[in-house]
Amino acid sequence: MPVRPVLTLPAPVLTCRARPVGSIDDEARALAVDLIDTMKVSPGCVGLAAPQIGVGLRAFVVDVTGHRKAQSCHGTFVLFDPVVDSASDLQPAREGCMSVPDLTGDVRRASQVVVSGIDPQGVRRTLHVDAFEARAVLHEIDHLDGLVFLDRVAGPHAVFPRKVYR
Amino acid sequence: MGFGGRCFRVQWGPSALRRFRRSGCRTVRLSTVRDSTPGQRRVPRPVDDGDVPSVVALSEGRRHNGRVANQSGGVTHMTLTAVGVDRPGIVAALAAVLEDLGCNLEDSTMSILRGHFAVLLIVAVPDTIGAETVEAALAPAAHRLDLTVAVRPLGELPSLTSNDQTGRSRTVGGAGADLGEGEVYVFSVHGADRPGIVERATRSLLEAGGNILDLSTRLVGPPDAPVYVLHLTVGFPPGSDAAGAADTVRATLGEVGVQVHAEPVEIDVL
Repeated sequence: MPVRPVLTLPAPVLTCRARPVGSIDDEARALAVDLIDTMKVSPGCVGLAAPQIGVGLRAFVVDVTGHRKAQSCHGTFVLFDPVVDSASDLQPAREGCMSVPDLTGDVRRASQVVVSGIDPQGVRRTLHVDAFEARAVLHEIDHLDGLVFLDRVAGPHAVFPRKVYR
Repeated sequence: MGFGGRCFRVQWGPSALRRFRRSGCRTVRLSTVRDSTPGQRRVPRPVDDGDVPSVVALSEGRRHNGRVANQSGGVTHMTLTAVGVDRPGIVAALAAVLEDLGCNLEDSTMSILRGHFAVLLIVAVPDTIGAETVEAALAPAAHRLDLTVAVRPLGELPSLTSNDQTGRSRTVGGAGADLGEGEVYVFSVHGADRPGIVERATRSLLEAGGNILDLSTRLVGPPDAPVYVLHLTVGFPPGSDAAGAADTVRATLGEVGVQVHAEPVEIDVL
Protein backbone atom coordinates (compact mmCIF):
# COMPACT_ATOMS: atom_id res chain seq x y z
CA MET A 1 0.00 0.00 0.00
CA PRO A 2 2.61 2.53 -1.04
CA VAL A 3 0.35 5.51 -1.80
CA ARG A 4 -2.03 6.46 0.96
CA PRO A 5 -4.77 9.09 1.20
CA VAL A 6 -3.69 12.34 2.80
CA LEU A 7 -5.86 13.15 5.81
CA THR A 8 -7.27 16.59 6.44
CA LEU A 9 -8.54 18.36 9.55
CA PRO A 10 -10.31 17.42 11.76
CA ALA A 11 -8.68 13.97 11.63
CA PRO A 12 -7.66 13.33 15.26
CA VAL A 13 -4.26 11.93 14.29
CA LEU A 14 -3.30 15.38 13.01
CA THR A 15 -3.73 16.98 16.42
CA CYS A 16 -2.04 14.36 18.58
CA ARG A 17 1.62 14.07 19.42
CA ALA A 18 3.07 11.20 17.41
CA ARG A 19 4.86 8.30 19.11
CA PRO A 20 8.58 7.64 18.73
CA VAL A 21 9.51 5.01 16.16
CA GLY A 22 12.44 3.58 18.14
CA SER A 23 14.21 0.81 16.25
CA ILE A 24 14.08 0.86 12.49
CA ASP A 25 12.48 -2.38 11.34
CA ASP A 26 10.74 -3.52 8.16
CA GLU A 27 7.54 -1.78 9.23
CA ALA A 28 9.36 1.52 9.64
CA ARG A 29 11.04 1.09 6.27
CA ALA A 30 7.64 0.38 4.70
CA LEU A 31 6.35 3.59 6.25
CA ALA A 32 9.26 5.47 4.66
CA VAL A 33 8.33 4.05 1.26
CA ASP A 34 4.71 5.04 1.75
CA LEU A 35 5.69 8.57 2.70
CA ILE A 36 7.93 8.94 -0.33
CA ASP A 37 5.44 7.42 -2.75
CA THR A 38 2.57 9.51 -1.45
CA MET A 39 4.64 12.69 -1.61
CA LYS A 40 5.77 11.95 -5.16
CA VAL A 41 2.25 11.55 -6.52
CA SER A 42 1.02 14.74 -4.86
CA PRO A 43 1.58 17.73 -7.16
CA GLY A 44 3.57 20.49 -5.53
CA CYS A 45 4.14 18.47 -2.37
CA VAL A 46 7.60 18.93 -0.88
CA GLY A 47 7.10 17.08 2.37
CA LEU A 48 4.81 14.78 4.26
CA ALA A 49 4.62 13.65 7.86
CA ALA A 50 3.43 10.22 8.96
CA PRO A 51 0.32 11.56 10.75
CA GLN A 52 -0.85 13.03 7.45
CA ILE A 53 -1.21 9.50 6.09
CA GLY A 54 -2.82 8.29 9.28
CA VAL A 55 0.22 6.92 11.09
CA GLY A 56 0.89 8.39 14.52
CA LEU A 57 4.64 7.87 14.43
CA ARG A 58 7.47 10.38 14.37
CA ALA A 59 8.60 10.19 10.76
CA PHE A 60 8.59 12.54 7.81
CA VAL A 61 9.87 12.90 4.29
CA VAL A 62 11.08 16.09 2.62
CA ASP A 63 12.24 16.80 -0.91
CA VAL A 64 12.64 20.40 -2.09
CA THR A 65 14.50 19.48 -5.26
CA GLY A 66 13.91 22.10 -7.93
CA HIS A 67 11.94 24.49 -5.74
CA ARG A 68 12.79 28.07 -6.60
CA LYS A 69 13.14 29.11 -2.97
CA ALA A 70 15.41 26.23 -2.01
CA GLN A 71 19.02 26.89 -1.13
CA SER A 72 20.18 23.80 0.71
CA CYS A 73 18.81 20.66 -0.89
CA HIS A 74 19.39 17.15 0.41
CA GLY A 75 17.15 15.48 -2.14
CA THR A 76 14.58 13.02 -0.86
CA PHE A 77 15.18 12.13 2.76
CA VAL A 78 13.19 10.41 5.47
CA LEU A 79 13.96 10.94 9.13
CA PHE A 80 12.60 8.97 12.06
CA ASP A 81 12.41 10.47 15.53
CA PRO A 82 13.79 13.83 14.34
CA VAL A 83 15.15 16.37 16.79
CA VAL A 84 15.81 20.04 16.05
CA ASP A 85 19.30 20.67 17.39
CA SER A 86 19.33 24.37 16.57
CA ALA A 87 17.12 26.87 14.80
CA SER A 88 17.73 30.53 14.09
CA ASP A 89 17.01 33.46 11.78
CA LEU A 90 13.22 33.65 11.74
CA GLN A 91 11.68 34.50 8.40
CA PRO A 92 8.01 34.98 7.48
CA ALA A 93 6.31 33.24 4.57
CA ARG A 94 2.85 32.17 3.58
CA GLU A 95 2.29 28.44 3.94
CA GLY A 96 -0.30 26.00 2.82
CA CYS A 97 -0.72 22.37 3.78
CA MET A 98 -2.30 19.35 2.16
CA SER A 99 -4.04 18.63 5.45
CA VAL A 100 -5.59 22.11 5.61
CA PRO A 101 -6.64 22.45 1.99
CA ASP A 102 -8.82 25.54 2.18
CA LEU A 103 -6.55 27.96 4.03
CA THR A 104 -3.10 29.48 4.02
CA GLY A 105 -1.31 31.41 6.73
CA ASP A 106 1.67 33.64 7.35
CA VAL A 107 4.12 31.81 9.57
CA ARG A 108 7.54 32.82 10.90
CA ARG A 109 9.98 29.96 10.96
CA ALA A 110 13.70 29.57 11.42
CA SER A 111 15.63 29.61 8.17
CA GLN A 112 18.81 28.06 9.60
CA VAL A 113 18.16 24.69 11.15
CA VAL A 114 20.19 21.71 12.27
CA VAL A 115 18.07 18.58 12.50
CA SER A 116 19.08 15.07 13.40
CA GLY A 117 17.27 11.76 13.21
CA ILE A 118 17.51 8.17 12.06
CA ASP A 119 17.33 7.35 8.35
CA PRO A 120 15.63 4.22 6.94
CA GLN A 121 18.96 2.36 7.09
CA GLY A 122 19.06 2.94 10.81
CA VAL A 123 21.92 5.43 10.58
CA ARG A 124 21.80 8.61 12.64
CA ARG A 125 22.06 11.63 10.37
CA THR A 126 22.54 15.30 11.12
CA LEU A 127 21.47 17.74 8.43
CA HIS A 128 22.12 21.47 8.12
CA VAL A 129 19.16 22.86 6.23
CA ASP A 130 18.28 26.44 5.39
CA ALA A 131 15.74 28.61 3.60
CA PHE A 132 12.87 26.64 2.08
CA GLU A 133 14.23 23.24 3.09
CA ALA A 134 14.41 24.44 6.71
CA ARG A 135 10.81 25.63 6.53
CA ALA A 136 9.67 22.30 5.11
CA VAL A 137 11.48 20.34 7.84
CA LEU A 138 10.00 22.47 10.63
CA HIS A 139 6.52 22.27 9.10
CA GLU A 140 6.73 18.46 9.04
CA ILE A 141 8.12 18.23 12.56
CA ASP A 142 5.20 20.36 13.72
CA HIS A 143 2.90 17.66 12.37
CA LEU A 144 4.68 15.16 14.62
CA ASP A 145 3.81 17.37 17.59
CA GLY A 146 0.16 17.59 16.59
CA LEU A 147 0.46 21.10 15.21
CA VAL A 148 -0.55 22.51 11.86
CA PHE A 149 0.42 25.90 10.47
CA LEU A 150 -2.80 27.36 11.86
CA ASP A 151 -1.25 26.93 15.30
CA ARG A 152 1.77 29.02 14.29
CA VAL A 153 0.18 32.11 12.77
CA ALA A 154 0.55 35.46 14.50
CA GLY A 155 -3.20 36.01 14.81
CA PRO A 156 -6.58 35.89 13.13
CA HIS A 157 -5.62 38.19 10.31
CA ALA A 158 -2.70 36.01 9.29
CA VAL A 159 -5.05 33.31 7.98
CA PHE A 160 -6.31 33.50 4.43
CA PRO A 161 -8.51 31.54 2.04
CA ARG A 162 -6.38 29.27 -0.08
CA LYS A 163 -8.19 30.11 -3.26
CA VAL A 164 -9.71 33.42 -4.23
CA TYR A 165 -10.97 32.82 -7.76
CA ARG A 166 -13.61 30.30 -8.58
CA MET B 1 -4.44 48.20 25.46
CA GLY B 2 -3.56 48.23 29.07
CA PHE B 3 -3.17 44.49 29.32
CA GLY B 4 -1.06 41.76 27.83
CA GLY B 5 -2.40 40.00 24.76
CA ARG B 6 -2.29 36.37 23.79
CA CYS B 7 -3.49 34.62 20.70
CA PHE B 8 -5.69 31.57 21.13
CA ARG B 9 -6.74 29.19 18.43
CA VAL B 10 -9.86 27.38 19.45
CA GLN B 11 -11.71 24.67 17.61
CA TRP B 12 -14.92 25.46 19.26
CA GLY B 13 -18.33 25.11 20.37
CA PRO B 14 -19.68 28.65 20.65
CA SER B 15 -19.69 28.32 24.43
CA ALA B 16 -15.90 28.64 24.32
CA LEU B 17 -16.30 32.38 23.87
CA ARG B 18 -18.57 32.64 26.88
CA ARG B 19 -15.94 30.89 28.91
CA PHE B 20 -13.33 33.31 27.61
CA ARG B 21 -15.51 36.08 28.99
CA ARG B 22 -16.07 34.40 32.34
CA SER B 23 -12.35 33.85 32.72
CA GLY B 24 -11.79 37.59 32.39
CA CYS B 25 -10.51 37.56 28.82
CA ARG B 26 -11.48 40.18 26.29
CA THR B 27 -11.69 39.56 22.56
CA VAL B 28 -9.73 42.18 20.68
CA ARG B 29 -9.62 40.36 17.37
CA LEU B 30 -11.70 37.50 16.12
CA SER B 31 -11.67 35.52 12.97
CA THR B 32 -13.30 32.22 12.20
CA VAL B 33 -13.26 30.29 8.99
CA ARG B 34 -15.07 27.08 8.28
CA ASP B 35 -12.45 24.69 6.95
CA SER B 36 -14.42 21.54 6.50
CA THR B 37 -17.11 20.19 4.32
CA PRO B 38 -20.62 21.28 5.25
CA GLY B 39 -22.08 19.08 7.92
CA GLN B 40 -18.71 17.82 9.07
CA ARG B 41 -18.28 18.05 12.81
CA ARG B 42 -15.09 19.11 14.45
CA VAL B 43 -13.36 17.18 17.11
CA PRO B 44 -12.41 18.98 20.33
CA ARG B 45 -8.69 19.31 20.46
CA PRO B 46 -6.81 18.90 23.71
CA VAL B 47 -4.48 21.85 24.20
CA ASP B 48 -1.18 21.17 25.84
CA ASP B 49 -0.44 24.63 27.14
CA GLY B 50 -0.14 25.17 30.82
CA ASP B 51 -0.74 28.92 30.48
CA VAL B 52 -4.17 28.50 28.94
CA PRO B 53 -6.98 28.45 31.49
CA SER B 54 -8.45 24.98 31.37
CA VAL B 55 -11.97 26.35 31.06
CA VAL B 56 -10.96 27.97 27.82
CA ALA B 57 -8.76 25.32 26.33
CA LEU B 58 -11.27 22.57 25.79
CA SER B 59 -14.16 23.02 23.46
CA GLU B 60 -17.34 21.09 23.97
CA GLY B 61 -18.08 20.43 20.36
CA ARG B 62 -21.50 21.37 19.11
CA ARG B 63 -24.18 20.22 21.49
CA HIS B 64 -26.85 22.89 21.27
CA ASN B 65 -29.08 20.93 23.59
CA GLY B 66 -29.48 18.28 20.96
CA ARG B 67 -30.09 20.79 18.17
CA VAL B 68 -27.04 20.78 15.99
CA ALA B 69 -27.70 23.36 13.36
CA ASN B 70 -25.39 22.29 10.60
CA GLN B 71 -26.31 18.68 10.41
CA SER B 72 -27.78 17.56 7.13
CA GLY B 73 -30.45 19.95 5.87
CA GLY B 74 -32.65 22.31 7.75
CA VAL B 75 -30.48 25.41 7.90
CA THR B 76 -30.30 28.73 6.15
CA HIS B 77 -27.35 31.08 6.22
CA MET B 78 -27.60 34.66 7.38
CA THR B 79 -25.27 37.59 7.80
CA LEU B 80 -25.10 39.26 11.16
CA THR B 81 -23.46 42.63 11.61
CA ALA B 82 -22.96 44.37 14.91
CA VAL B 83 -21.44 47.81 15.42
CA GLY B 84 -20.93 49.85 18.54
CA VAL B 85 -18.51 51.26 21.07
CA ASP B 86 -16.11 48.52 22.09
CA ARG B 87 -16.42 46.96 25.51
CA PRO B 88 -15.70 43.55 26.99
CA GLY B 89 -18.32 40.86 26.43
CA ILE B 90 -19.79 41.76 23.06
CA VAL B 91 -18.69 38.63 21.20
CA ALA B 92 -19.58 36.39 24.12
CA ALA B 93 -23.06 37.93 24.36
CA LEU B 94 -23.76 37.47 20.66
CA ALA B 95 -22.41 33.92 20.69
CA ALA B 96 -24.57 33.01 23.69
CA VAL B 97 -27.78 34.15 21.99
CA LEU B 98 -26.87 32.33 18.79
CA GLU B 99 -26.08 29.16 20.68
CA ASP B 100 -29.41 29.30 22.49
CA LEU B 101 -31.16 29.57 19.13
CA GLY B 102 -29.33 26.50 17.86
CA CYS B 103 -27.29 28.51 15.36
CA ASN B 104 -23.74 27.83 14.24
CA LEU B 105 -21.39 30.76 13.92
CA GLU B 106 -19.38 29.89 10.82
CA ASP B 107 -17.17 32.51 9.15
CA SER B 108 -16.52 35.78 10.93
CA THR B 109 -14.29 38.78 11.13
CA MET B 110 -14.17 41.61 13.63
CA SER B 111 -12.24 44.76 14.04
CA ILE B 112 -11.81 47.64 16.44
CA LEU B 113 -11.12 51.08 15.03
CA ARG B 114 -10.46 53.86 17.52
CA GLY B 115 -12.58 52.19 20.15
CA HIS B 116 -15.41 51.24 17.83
CA PHE B 117 -16.25 47.59 17.44
CA ALA B 118 -17.55 45.95 14.27
CA VAL B 119 -18.15 42.32 13.50
CA LEU B 120 -19.52 40.50 10.48
CA LEU B 121 -20.68 36.92 10.92
CA ILE B 122 -22.01 34.20 8.66
CA VAL B 123 -24.41 32.17 10.76
CA ALA B 124 -26.14 28.88 9.98
CA VAL B 125 -29.66 29.20 11.36
CA PRO B 126 -32.28 26.44 11.67
CA ASP B 127 -34.69 27.04 8.81
CA THR B 128 -37.59 27.22 11.20
CA ILE B 129 -36.22 30.56 12.40
CA GLY B 130 -36.38 33.77 10.39
CA ALA B 131 -33.97 36.68 10.35
CA GLU B 132 -36.44 38.81 12.29
CA THR B 133 -36.56 36.22 15.05
CA VAL B 134 -32.78 36.12 15.30
CA GLU B 135 -32.63 39.90 15.38
CA ALA B 136 -35.35 40.02 18.05
CA ALA B 137 -33.50 37.46 20.16
CA LEU B 138 -30.38 39.59 19.95
CA ALA B 139 -32.22 42.79 20.84
CA PRO B 140 -31.83 42.62 24.65
CA ALA B 141 -28.08 42.07 24.38
CA ALA B 142 -27.83 44.76 21.71
CA HIS B 143 -29.69 47.18 23.95
CA ARG B 144 -27.59 46.33 26.99
CA LEU B 145 -24.34 46.72 25.04
CA ASP B 146 -25.52 49.68 22.93
CA LEU B 147 -24.98 47.82 19.68
CA THR B 148 -26.55 48.24 16.28
CA VAL B 149 -27.29 44.71 15.10
CA ALA B 150 -28.65 43.62 11.74
CA VAL B 151 -29.45 40.10 10.55
CA ARG B 152 -30.11 39.44 6.89
CA PRO B 153 -30.86 36.22 5.02
CA LEU B 154 -28.11 35.14 2.71
CA GLY B 155 -28.81 33.53 -0.64
CA GLU B 156 -27.14 30.34 -1.71
CA LEU B 157 -23.84 30.18 0.12
CA PRO B 158 -20.94 29.83 -2.30
CA SER B 159 -18.86 26.74 -1.82
CA LEU B 160 -15.77 27.31 0.24
CA THR B 161 -13.37 26.62 -2.59
CA SER B 162 -13.24 24.73 -5.78
CA ASN B 163 -11.66 21.99 -3.71
CA ASP B 164 -15.06 21.30 -2.24
CA GLN B 165 -16.68 21.22 -5.63
CA THR B 166 -14.24 18.73 -7.05
CA GLY B 167 -13.15 16.92 -3.94
CA ARG B 168 -9.66 16.92 -5.39
CA SER B 169 -7.99 18.25 -2.31
CA ARG B 170 -9.51 15.48 -0.25
CA THR B 171 -7.57 12.90 -2.17
CA VAL B 172 -3.95 12.35 -2.93
CA GLY B 173 -2.80 14.53 -5.74
CA GLY B 174 -5.21 17.37 -5.19
CA ALA B 175 -3.21 19.83 -3.16
CA GLY B 176 -1.60 22.57 -5.13
CA ALA B 177 -3.69 21.95 -8.19
CA ASP B 178 -5.43 25.32 -7.92
CA LEU B 179 -2.48 27.52 -7.12
CA GLY B 180 -1.82 28.53 -10.69
CA GLU B 181 -5.09 30.38 -11.09
CA GLY B 182 -4.81 34.12 -10.89
CA GLU B 183 -2.40 36.12 -8.79
CA VAL B 184 -2.62 37.86 -5.47
CA TYR B 185 -0.62 40.97 -4.64
CA VAL B 186 -0.18 42.87 -1.40
CA PHE B 187 0.13 46.63 -1.89
CA SER B 188 1.78 48.79 0.73
CA VAL B 189 0.95 52.46 0.22
CA HIS B 190 2.15 55.27 2.47
CA GLY B 191 2.84 58.94 2.36
CA ALA B 192 1.82 62.35 3.64
CA ASP B 193 -1.92 62.34 4.15
CA ARG B 194 -3.95 63.95 1.40
CA PRO B 195 -7.42 63.41 -0.05
CA GLY B 196 -7.89 60.79 -2.74
CA ILE B 197 -5.26 58.19 -1.96
CA VAL B 198 -7.72 55.31 -1.63
CA GLU B 199 -9.77 56.53 -4.59
CA ARG B 200 -6.74 56.72 -6.88
CA ALA B 201 -5.40 53.36 -5.84
CA THR B 202 -8.68 51.48 -6.06
CA ARG B 203 -9.70 53.07 -9.35
CA SER B 204 -6.44 51.98 -10.95
CA LEU B 205 -6.83 48.49 -9.60
CA LEU B 206 -10.44 48.21 -10.75
CA GLU B 207 -9.48 49.29 -14.26
CA ALA B 208 -6.84 46.56 -14.28
CA GLY B 209 -9.37 43.91 -13.30
CA GLY B 210 -8.20 43.64 -9.71
CA ASN B 211 -10.52 42.64 -6.91
CA ILE B 212 -9.82 43.97 -3.42
CA LEU B 213 -9.75 41.08 -0.97
CA ASP B 214 -8.65 42.97 2.11
CA LEU B 215 -8.03 46.57 3.04
CA SER B 216 -6.62 48.37 6.04
CA THR B 217 -5.90 52.06 6.44
CA ARG B 218 -4.36 53.96 9.34
CA LEU B 219 -3.82 57.63 9.88
CA VAL B 220 -0.75 58.00 12.06
CA GLY B 221 1.89 60.54 12.96
CA PRO B 222 1.61 63.99 14.55
CA PRO B 223 -1.47 66.12 13.78
CA ASP B 224 0.57 68.67 11.89
CA ALA B 225 2.19 66.02 9.68
CA PRO B 226 -0.18 63.06 9.41
CA VAL B 227 0.93 59.98 7.53
CA TYR B 228 -1.50 57.79 5.66
CA VAL B 229 -0.80 54.05 5.61
CA LEU B 230 -2.83 51.80 3.34
CA HIS B 231 -2.51 48.07 2.80
CA LEU B 232 -4.46 46.24 0.15
CA THR B 233 -4.63 42.60 -0.77
CA VAL B 234 -5.71 42.37 -4.38
CA GLY B 235 -6.63 39.36 -6.47
CA PHE B 236 -6.14 39.39 -10.22
CA PRO B 237 -7.96 36.86 -12.40
CA PRO B 238 -6.03 34.54 -14.69
CA GLY B 239 -4.75 36.32 -17.76
CA SER B 240 -4.72 39.80 -16.28
CA ASP B 241 -1.57 41.88 -16.06
CA ALA B 242 -1.03 42.07 -12.33
CA ALA B 243 2.51 43.39 -12.59
CA GLY B 244 1.33 46.07 -15.03
CA ALA B 245 -1.43 47.05 -12.65
CA ALA B 246 1.10 47.45 -9.88
CA ASP B 247 3.12 49.76 -12.11
CA THR B 248 0.00 51.80 -12.88
CA VAL B 249 -0.88 52.23 -9.23
CA ARG B 250 2.70 53.16 -8.48
CA ALA B 251 2.66 55.82 -11.20
CA THR B 252 -0.79 57.16 -10.27
CA LEU B 253 0.07 57.62 -6.62
CA GLY B 254 3.63 58.67 -7.34
CA GLU B 255 2.16 61.76 -8.98
CA VAL B 256 0.95 62.90 -5.57
CA GLY B 257 4.06 61.87 -3.68
CA VAL B 258 2.75 58.63 -2.21
CA GLN B 259 4.96 55.55 -2.17
CA VAL B 260 3.65 52.23 -3.41
CA HIS B 261 5.26 48.85 -2.94
CA ALA B 262 3.63 45.77 -4.43
CA GLU B 263 4.62 42.18 -3.76
CA PRO B 264 3.08 39.04 -5.20
CA VAL B 265 1.88 36.64 -2.56
CA GLU B 266 3.61 33.31 -2.93
CA ILE B 267 2.15 30.33 -1.16
CA ASP B 268 4.37 27.41 -0.27
CA VAL B 269 2.46 24.19 0.02
CA LEU B 270 4.32 21.94 2.39
